[in-house]
Amino acid sequence: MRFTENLAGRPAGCPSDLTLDRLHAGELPPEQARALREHAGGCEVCAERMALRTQGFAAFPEARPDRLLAGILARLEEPPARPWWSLSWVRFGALGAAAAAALVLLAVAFWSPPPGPQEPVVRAKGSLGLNVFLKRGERVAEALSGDSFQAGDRLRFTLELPVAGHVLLVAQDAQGRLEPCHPFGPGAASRPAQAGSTGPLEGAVELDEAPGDEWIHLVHCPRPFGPDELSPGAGPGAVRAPEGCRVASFLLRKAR
Amino acid sequence: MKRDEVSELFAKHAPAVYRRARYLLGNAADADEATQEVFIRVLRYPQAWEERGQVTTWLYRITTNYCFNRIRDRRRRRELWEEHGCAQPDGPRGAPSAEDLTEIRKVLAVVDESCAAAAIYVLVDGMSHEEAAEILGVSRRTVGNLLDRFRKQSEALTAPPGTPPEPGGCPDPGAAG
Repeated sequence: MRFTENLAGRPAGCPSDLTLDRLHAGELPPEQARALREHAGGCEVCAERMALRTQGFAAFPEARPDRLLAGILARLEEPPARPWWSLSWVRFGALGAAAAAALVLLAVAFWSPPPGPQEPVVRAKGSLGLNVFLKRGERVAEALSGDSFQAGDRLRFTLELPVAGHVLLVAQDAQGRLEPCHPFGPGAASRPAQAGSTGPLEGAVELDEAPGDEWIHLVHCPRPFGPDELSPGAGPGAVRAPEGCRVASFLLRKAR
Repeated sequence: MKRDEVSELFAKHAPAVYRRARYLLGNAADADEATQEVFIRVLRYPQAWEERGQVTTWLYRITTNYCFNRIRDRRRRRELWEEHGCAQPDGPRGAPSAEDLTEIRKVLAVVDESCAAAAIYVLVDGMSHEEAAEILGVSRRTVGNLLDRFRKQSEALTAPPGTPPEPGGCPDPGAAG
């Protein structure tokens, strides 16, 4: 199949969904908003697209917005398993010469069993997840794979594991070189972990000044394994793991 | 954030999140879950979007990331391929057809994240390259390159058996072994 520029096949010159959503949300400058409303007034397709937005959830009869909102409010009011931002950010100094030359990692702490509720929250859909939280200055936010990062940014991780197993976080530079980053240190190997969402892993990773793309891989295997069983795969950001293992990857784009 | 503020934000933005998740994931149950998860993430870390003052753009990013990961998860469970035979109604005018969405999900399941995000923004959402570049934090030229790589990969995936792959396709960083 050959994908065309726009699968929706809208007439040329019609605004994107993002633009219409921002118009509906009142986020556009008045001049742009006025021009778009004029366009929608003379464009049958865009008039329908705006009507869809005006209808809100009424356009989706199967949706249950009251139930969705109630679920969100309930989740927000749950006490966090542990206020991870209150933990200290640990700096361990430079790594060995080989690692320091290649990796983003300047500071890494050691593994400790995740704190939190005794009964882990098992994800119903059974997916492997690596969540990354960025602290830049005093601001903290969840980061997305592919985001831009800068020297001095500090990262912390939480994991979502569909089943119990053994996990290891490894960093990979643009040349494909792999280095364990959690646990870290001589003889670092996978650690056992229970199914469900972990609390934040202890310690933080601080990014150095080397620019370019780098990756953090969460490797999850049914048996214990070591970093020597991992190798670069074909292409940037690819890693080969033992049979039966799964990998979740996170791309760090480091500004030049 | 207070409950009434959450309710107001939900009323204003949740239908758009649900709509996109419905297109990208293809069913109401997954769109429900996506909407909840996206709002939980956005509301737990409001600093990320309050600073920018553009919650819609931030919601697009979070929704894209969440849905892409769900599509990748499905690949492992083969749901995506079983979905192929299930007839789904098309969306409203100005939206991609159900058939196109099913096809593009299969490709999204195996390409890398940068290619996938560019394809979602430009091909599914109908963004200009400039808009996609802004939301991805890359140049317009990079968006074009990512789309080229996405197209090569999609063509390779649907090529008859024995057809040699074109160079420049997207790798699959999630593949193990």
